[in-house]
Amino acid sequence: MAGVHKSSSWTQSGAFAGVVSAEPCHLVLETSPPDYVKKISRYLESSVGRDEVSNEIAGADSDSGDSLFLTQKQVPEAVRSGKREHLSLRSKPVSPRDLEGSDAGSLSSDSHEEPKTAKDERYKKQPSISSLPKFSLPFLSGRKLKGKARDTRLSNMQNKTLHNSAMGGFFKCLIEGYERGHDAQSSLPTVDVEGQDISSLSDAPGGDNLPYEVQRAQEINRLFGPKGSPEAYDVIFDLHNTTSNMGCTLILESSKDHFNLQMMNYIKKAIAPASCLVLLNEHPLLKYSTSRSVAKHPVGLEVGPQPQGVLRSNIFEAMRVILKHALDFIELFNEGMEFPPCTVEVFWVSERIDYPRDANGNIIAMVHPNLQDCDWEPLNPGDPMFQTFDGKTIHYQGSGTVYPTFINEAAYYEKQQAFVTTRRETLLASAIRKA
Amino acid sequence: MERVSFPPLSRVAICGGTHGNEMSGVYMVREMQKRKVDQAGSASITTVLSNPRAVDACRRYIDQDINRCFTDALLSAPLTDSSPYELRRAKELNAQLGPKGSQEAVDLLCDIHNTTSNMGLCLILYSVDYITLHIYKYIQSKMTSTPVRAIQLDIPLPEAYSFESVGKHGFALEVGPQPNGVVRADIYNMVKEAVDLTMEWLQAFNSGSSFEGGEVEAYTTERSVDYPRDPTTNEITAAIHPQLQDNDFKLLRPGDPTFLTFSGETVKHEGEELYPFFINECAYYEKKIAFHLAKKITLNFPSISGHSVSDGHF
Repeated sequence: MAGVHKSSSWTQSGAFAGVVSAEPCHLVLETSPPDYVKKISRYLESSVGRDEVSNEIAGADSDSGDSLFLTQKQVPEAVRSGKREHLSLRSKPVSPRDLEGSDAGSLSSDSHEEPKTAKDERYKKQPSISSLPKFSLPFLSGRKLKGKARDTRLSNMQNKTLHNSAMGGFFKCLIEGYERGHDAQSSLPTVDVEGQDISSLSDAPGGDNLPYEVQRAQEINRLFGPKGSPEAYDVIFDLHNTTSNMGCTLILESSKDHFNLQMMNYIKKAIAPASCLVLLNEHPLLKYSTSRSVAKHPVGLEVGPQPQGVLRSNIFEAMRVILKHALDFIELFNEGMEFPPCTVEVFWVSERIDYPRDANGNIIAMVHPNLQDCDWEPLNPGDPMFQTFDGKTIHYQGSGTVYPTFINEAAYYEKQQAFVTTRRETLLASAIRKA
Repeated sequence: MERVSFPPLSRVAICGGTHGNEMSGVYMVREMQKRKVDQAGSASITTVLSNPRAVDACRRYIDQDINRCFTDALLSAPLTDSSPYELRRAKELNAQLGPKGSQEAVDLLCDIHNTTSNMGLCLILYSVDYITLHIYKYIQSKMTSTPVRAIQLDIPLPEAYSFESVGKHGFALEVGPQPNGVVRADIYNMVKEAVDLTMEWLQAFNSGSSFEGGEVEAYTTERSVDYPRDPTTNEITAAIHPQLQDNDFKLLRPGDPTFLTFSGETVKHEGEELYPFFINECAYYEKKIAFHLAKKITLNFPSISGHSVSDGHF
């Protein structure tokens, strides 16, 4: 692999220019409120030594109750119960006063794993991120337009960050409300507008105005859920590809899902010596609500590397094999086979690492060639992590060795993620048997 | 062959983001703009983000592929209110860097692209041109990090549909494999090296150096092959065979596997021995191309040197 070819033959008029700085941006987003930051740090600190969790698993009974065991009876098809209450996103630009009350968290409830298909037609018609309502902040000096006009709308990247953070602020209010013992209704943040009667978001009308994916998520919840109810499907396999070099990966959402743990153990053993790793995404801040989470036992299959819009034979075959073993497991379980206690090695998501960016939100460095394609390999403090476009190396500054994954996933540039770090843990799965 | 003289190449354009999700060119152009690169020796450099709306949305195009919009016919057709964005933008680019075919056009246009195919670094030339062949020879002799190849399309100028045909001399730099929407450091470094070498050659040429001619190998497209499809739904029924996948420019013989159907059958290559490339390029599913097939040819070209017009040679 060639190093960066240092160019000495170009000349630049004037002095060597650094990063072009944007006009100052006074968004509240730039600094989190101190108490929120402290909360995140406290959690991250306490989660570094996670031994107590494994012990927890060992002693726990099945936490999913009766729903762990598939019954002989066929699960009745979920019936549409008529028009449900809809979540509606804010469609009006927000005034600066409203922003002051919201938290600058990094929470995002966006569904992160978009199913990638090879159908270019659908991809072509998909609305871009510029179809999100655009916030406009009048106090920005703004981009110069024709004549004397100024465009005070945020850039697409800033706009998306603000939407994500607003969502995060919403959920934070909800969580805090629950913790204080309030119900959902009174936990919802409201905008204090004099004389106006503010309804909770879930009451708001406008089903047709909802983004396509929100409508579709509600449809999926009707068909395969409702999420959290006894009628929900037992298992959903959610098939995904990634541009990252993750190989075959199973994604687990709960360290206490013994059925899933047993399934994943079975799959790993069945495809050995080929490898199939387990990614556990159970982080209170980084976790997101997936379409598969509608079922009692959500299972993510993530296979890569494969570019979006491309079908590779080897990737297709790998996914087919994993799914075959997963279905074999279910068949064996349904036939009454008992699966004794077992241990499952998992990679537990710790932290999301973003690209270094400039004031406009554009990335200023790429995943370093030494880290590129090295999913699941140890990353030690001091190891190269990013390479700037002019060839400088940025090193990993963490306190210990981590195991990165989702390295350079195409879909995550807009979600401010270059890779996630994980730590290796061993979970104990209890014995399971059909009731 | 007798040595040929050319006037200096004093106006050069480096373009990226012609397809908005091919990231090497996007970041290359942004980086050059940040560093205010506008000169290479005596040549002036213009950097252009060709399709800014597509770059913003991280899509190949908004309405239609801009890199098919540069034929004489499309460039001269009048615009209406309902004209696709890319037709509009193509005319803007033609006005800025062309007009195509005229004396005002830039001397050299280099358009940076990525592909999901395992093609290493390729120069795509729409016609035989001694300047671009010399640049190719120069890059090939100096780059060791990846194979460097040339693909020659042989399209007459009025029908040439791609952006680089706007310049008096032009070539596309096609580098892969890289997924859409992703910037890989190794691929970016290759692109940077190729652009640096092009600038190096340019400066040497403009200061009067001679470059020895010779012969180079190039590939010239014979035909393209589509995926097997279901006759009723038109959906593909097979994927590129694992033995063909990633083997761009490896000779394909009759009987060699090309596709593996979803039900497990192998489809084989029929006809003459040819060299496949653009194998499993993402953007070509909609163009009904699984891969192109090419003949390998040898191109002879003379030594050249840069002389000012007043020297009497042209």
